[in-house]
Amino acid sequence: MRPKPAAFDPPPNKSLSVVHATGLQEQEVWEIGKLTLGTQPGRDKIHGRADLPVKALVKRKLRAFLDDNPFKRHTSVVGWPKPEDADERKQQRKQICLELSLDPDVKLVLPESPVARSG
Amino acid sequence: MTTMEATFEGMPGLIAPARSTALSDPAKNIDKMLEKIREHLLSSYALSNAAEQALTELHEVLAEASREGWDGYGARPLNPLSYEFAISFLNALPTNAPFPEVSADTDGEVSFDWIFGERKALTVSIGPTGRCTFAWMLGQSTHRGTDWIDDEIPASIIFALGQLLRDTAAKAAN
Repeated sequence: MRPKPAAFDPPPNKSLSVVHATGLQEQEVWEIGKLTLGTQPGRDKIHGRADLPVKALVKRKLRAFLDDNPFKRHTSVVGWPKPEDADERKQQRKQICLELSLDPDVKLVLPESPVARSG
Repeated sequence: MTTMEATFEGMPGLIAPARSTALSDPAKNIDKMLEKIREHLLSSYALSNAAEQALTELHEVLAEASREGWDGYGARPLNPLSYEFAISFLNALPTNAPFPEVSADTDGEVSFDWIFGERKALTVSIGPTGRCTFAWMLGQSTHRGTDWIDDEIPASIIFALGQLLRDTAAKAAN
């Protein structure tokens, strides 16, 4: 199984939110993940995560910087291509998301059971 | 898998209702026959199950991504027109094509993904104008493009899916 390409699709502000997970235990990573949960259907549980090394981003000319905002270890992935032509822009983004999804260095990690907000 | 794939390229979807401007009686009879075949195919458990699963997933994605900021980071809600074109896309898929995984893009488009294995996948985004933005990878080759869904799925996407299926079938046969 591979992470879906859409998992890497940056929001309209072109800054993809990720967590700097280096040095963390498995459980600590899932705990941080809980901070991103919502209440609407489909956003209230974590079914998996993609672990990607910075080199996978650098290879696509993307940059990751730790900003600790809105939570500690929050990291933004920026540098998404911005050609003027909208079709070209979307194409380039699709290609990068697909490449990240299939990159052998990017791992899909599934929890034993879906992770939900505790209490 | 190989026999399925052999008739794949250029074949219109049999699940899609017949689109015809036929006027003569023989042509109308052919349309009726096609409609019967379509109904028969849809009644087949395996086929209807796969098609229904994709449509159910699409509906779930719509429910999940129907609000502004559904991803927690300002994503646009899934555009109803993208949703409609996505349904047309699924209905027009060739009968022997596998159904995709469904997600929402943060710009409100619907994303369909076919992941066949390592470095072998196709992803297509369907926009509110029927624009299909796609990227696909087969081994060391990566391709991308833009096309529009009309009555049928763009030939460029059918071609990509055909290439990926052919490669998958060939590797399975070896």
